[in-house]
Amino acid sequence: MTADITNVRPASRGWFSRIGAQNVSLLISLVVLLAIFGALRPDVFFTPRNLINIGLAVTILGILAMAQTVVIVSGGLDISVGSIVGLSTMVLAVALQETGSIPLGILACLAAGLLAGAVNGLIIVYGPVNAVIATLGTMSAFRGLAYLMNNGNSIPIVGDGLRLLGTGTLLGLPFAIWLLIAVMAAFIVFTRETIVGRNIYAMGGNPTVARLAGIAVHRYQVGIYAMSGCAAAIAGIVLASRTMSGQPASGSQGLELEAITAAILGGCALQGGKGTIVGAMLGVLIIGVLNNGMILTSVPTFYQLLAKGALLILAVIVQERQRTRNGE
Amino acid sequence: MKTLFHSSISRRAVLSGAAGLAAGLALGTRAFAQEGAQLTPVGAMVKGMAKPGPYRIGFSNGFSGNSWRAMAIAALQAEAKKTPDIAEFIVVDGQGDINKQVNDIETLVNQQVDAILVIANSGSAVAPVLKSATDEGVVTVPFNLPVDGEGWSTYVGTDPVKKGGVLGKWLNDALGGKGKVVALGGLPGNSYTAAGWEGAQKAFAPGIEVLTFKDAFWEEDKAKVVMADLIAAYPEIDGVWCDGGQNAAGAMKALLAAGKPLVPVTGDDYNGLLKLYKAEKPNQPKFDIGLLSEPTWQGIFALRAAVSLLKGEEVAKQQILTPSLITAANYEKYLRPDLPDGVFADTSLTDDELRAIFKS
Amino acid sequence: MSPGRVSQILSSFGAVWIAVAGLYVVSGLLSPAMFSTGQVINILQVASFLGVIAAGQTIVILTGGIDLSQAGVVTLTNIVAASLMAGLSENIPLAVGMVVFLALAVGAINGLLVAALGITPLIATLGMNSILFGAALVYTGGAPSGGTPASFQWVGNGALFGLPVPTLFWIALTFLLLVMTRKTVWGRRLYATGANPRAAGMMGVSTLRIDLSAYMLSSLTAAFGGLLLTAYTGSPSLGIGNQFMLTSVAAVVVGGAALTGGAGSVLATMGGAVFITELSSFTNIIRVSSGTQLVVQGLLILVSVLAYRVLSMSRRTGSAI
Repeated sequence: MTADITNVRPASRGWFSRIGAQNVSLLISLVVLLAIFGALRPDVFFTPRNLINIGLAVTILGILAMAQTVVIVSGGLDISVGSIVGLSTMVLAVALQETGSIPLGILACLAAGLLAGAVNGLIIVYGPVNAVIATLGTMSAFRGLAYLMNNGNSIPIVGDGLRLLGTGTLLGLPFAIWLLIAVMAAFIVFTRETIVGRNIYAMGGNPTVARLAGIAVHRYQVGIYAMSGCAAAIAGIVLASRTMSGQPASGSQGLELEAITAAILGGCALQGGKGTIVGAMLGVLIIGVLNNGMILTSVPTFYQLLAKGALLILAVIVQERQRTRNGE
Repeated sequence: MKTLFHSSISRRAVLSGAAGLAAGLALGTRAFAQEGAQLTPVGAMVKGMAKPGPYRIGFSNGFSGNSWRAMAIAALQAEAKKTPDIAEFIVVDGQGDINKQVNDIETLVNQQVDAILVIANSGSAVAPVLKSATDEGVVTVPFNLPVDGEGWSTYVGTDPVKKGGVLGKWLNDALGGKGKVVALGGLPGNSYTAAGWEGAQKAFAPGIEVLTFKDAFWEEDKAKVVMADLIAAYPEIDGVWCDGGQNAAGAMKALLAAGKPLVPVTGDDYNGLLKLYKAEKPNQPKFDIGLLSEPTWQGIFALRAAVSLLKGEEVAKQQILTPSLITAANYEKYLRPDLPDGVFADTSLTDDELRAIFKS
Repeated sequence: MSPGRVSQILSSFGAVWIAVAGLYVVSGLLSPAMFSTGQVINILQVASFLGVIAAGQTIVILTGGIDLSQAGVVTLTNIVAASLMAGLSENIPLAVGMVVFLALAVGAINGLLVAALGITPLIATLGMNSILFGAALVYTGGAPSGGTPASFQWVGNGALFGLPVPTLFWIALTFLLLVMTRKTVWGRRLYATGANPRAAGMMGVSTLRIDLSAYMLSSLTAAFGGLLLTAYTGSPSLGIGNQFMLTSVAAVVVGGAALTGGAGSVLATMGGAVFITELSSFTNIIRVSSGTQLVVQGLLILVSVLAYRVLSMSRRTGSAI
């Protein structure tokens, strides 16, 4: 039995309330960053090409951060997504090699991601094992599997079909960005407009009450981690189409932690029950604009890490202030 | 028509020839100027596009965070500074991330640089983005690590299979074609180590027994920990094949800590290893070194190739460097007892430049 | 909550030790080299770096927090210590003093960010880690220099009473922290804060002070671990700390601590550190690729945690929510 126990629907459906008070501070941070970099590099920063560039750069992180938001809202955490990205690019490359069919390759890739995610969910629910330690274990195991698929080597993908996904455009925007927009729309509808989505908030906010209200918490959890794995596979497809190869090491440089950072920047609470898709995407955009702007303004490489760490902490402090002021 | 060039030019000759182009290069340092590494043009000549200068050139470095990269960047920056045709030299850092490097290269194209130099995190991953940059008229020069396909302008680097083979042959001969060896490589799945190890195994005589191959990340601490385990597993280790000097130094330090005799080892021009050899050789009769540098100055040739192409000159599709072997006989010419372990001794940089980089 | 006596003993001492013994027997049967005294000592020596670092992580996790900046502290410690020592014995006090000062400062900032400003520990310490690694890069320009004098290398490689010096340090530190957590007022407050911060606050515990001290201890043990590792290798490396970001958390959790806080023990973490080192040592010895190594390591972490649950029959919720 599935029940809708969240009677807290947004009272006003105006533009402002849809973005949410918390997201306003993120939006302001984003605008400030845009203004700074725009002023420092007026020749390049606001060119359509650079904005598209930022969009392409955040596609993978964006997809992962949105999925992570749902996981965190449900009260969990998935740190294996970076490994699933690497594994899924390898599955895609092998499947394309074997079948030569792009739909089949993509299907195999999504199935692999879904399966990997479901394994996470099953371990977490039926172990039961803490989500962090479970996905820490599978992070290592999935990365190992990715290496084992071709002796640690990458696999080049030939043929133009997949390249089209990486380089093709529609109405001036690359397919990858359309994909990001589509995924974002799907997540927004899912979290705001469906009973299942709203139940996830209830579940994360108070699991006991959710269980008593008849939400099949275990089934939800397995489903959420499977979804997270599948989203990682979508990110893997984007990565493979940009690099035209299966890369066993891809997503290993702290991608999962960056996705979690973006989600928390976007207002997620690790205790669960709180967080929005729009917030996560704003968090992702802040990180993307920061990365791009620091390159364009020639911030020395080593200072970029310093600045990024400091600015992220600052952004979260500002947000925390706002939250306490709003009396949450 | 494909013309295959395979003439060998001594490095000194290349340098003096290039010196005219590059408005003179101060050859103040020892090892770089005096050793006879070879630069071999391979493949058809590529013709440039004759753009008016001065040029803006970008360098997408796959990652930084070790002294090899720091020296490679410094060598490039010094060269860029003394090349009047270069107006701006922009360095971006992929932080070890395959996807970030693709973004970095796109950002460089977007800034309308005239040429892009690349040390790739993955030779397959950057191939498509380099190809589209090349198609847009940007001169692209991967160096140090090869990039798949031919969608780039020209390549400068060593031949890792051959290098691994030379090191393998040296180790084989040092052991008299008979003995048990272990191998320590770099990052898991990196193609450079894989190619080198492939070359090495072909050079071993049947009497050489390979006990195991392990990834040791080109870091002393990791190599030492891995080697300590291997010492426990294999009571007899007669030689160690490494494609990096940090691995070799870490492995030797593990042998020392275990109270085992040091053995013949391969590696590169890592000063820490040279110092260790100098210090331990008197007490360790079996200790021996056979080393090939992965020159930190190779980027200079990549930069020159880029400028040549921008000027409309011809450059070979590939320029393969063959560094010369460093052994017990000549290592003292490279050894720098006064400089930090992290220095790669086969260098184009002056002592002052090195001290500035290492802040010592 | 009244778990059985078996479970009580297991949770204070750590069921992980059963996993340590089990893995040891299995790996020894597959690869007899594991049974040699030399290899046991080697594992204890290598485990002490992770163990010392994870000891501090345990304290933070007991408060319900997490410290991902330990990796950055280890790297910065290695870089600063090697640079300040510059191979000279007379510089050791200066280098150690500087490193300890930096670590305490980092820990204090972490603690304030978490306790006074209410930042999620994961983000606060992750941001701090990025800052510390950036600082190490800026300090060295990417080219670290310096090294340790031979006298200091003894700290990482020497032996006393047949045991490696770092291992003895690790045992002493664990014992000290065990006494601090189990026998002092501070320790009781630490557990109380982790179990229920609100209730602890109402009982007059200054959770700010507890958090502050926990993060400072965590940074401090990371610095100790970094110093031992620096003494072990004798040279600086910018990549030296990265491996500890997640392994130090893994060691604590494999030891059976709950990430929700309030449950766990430094003694059990010791077992966790031995287990993880034993595992990687075993996978180094058997001839497998890095891929297989990662798969085996991941699976065994999961199996050990599952086995722990079965063995301890504890009702403590370790699940996601």
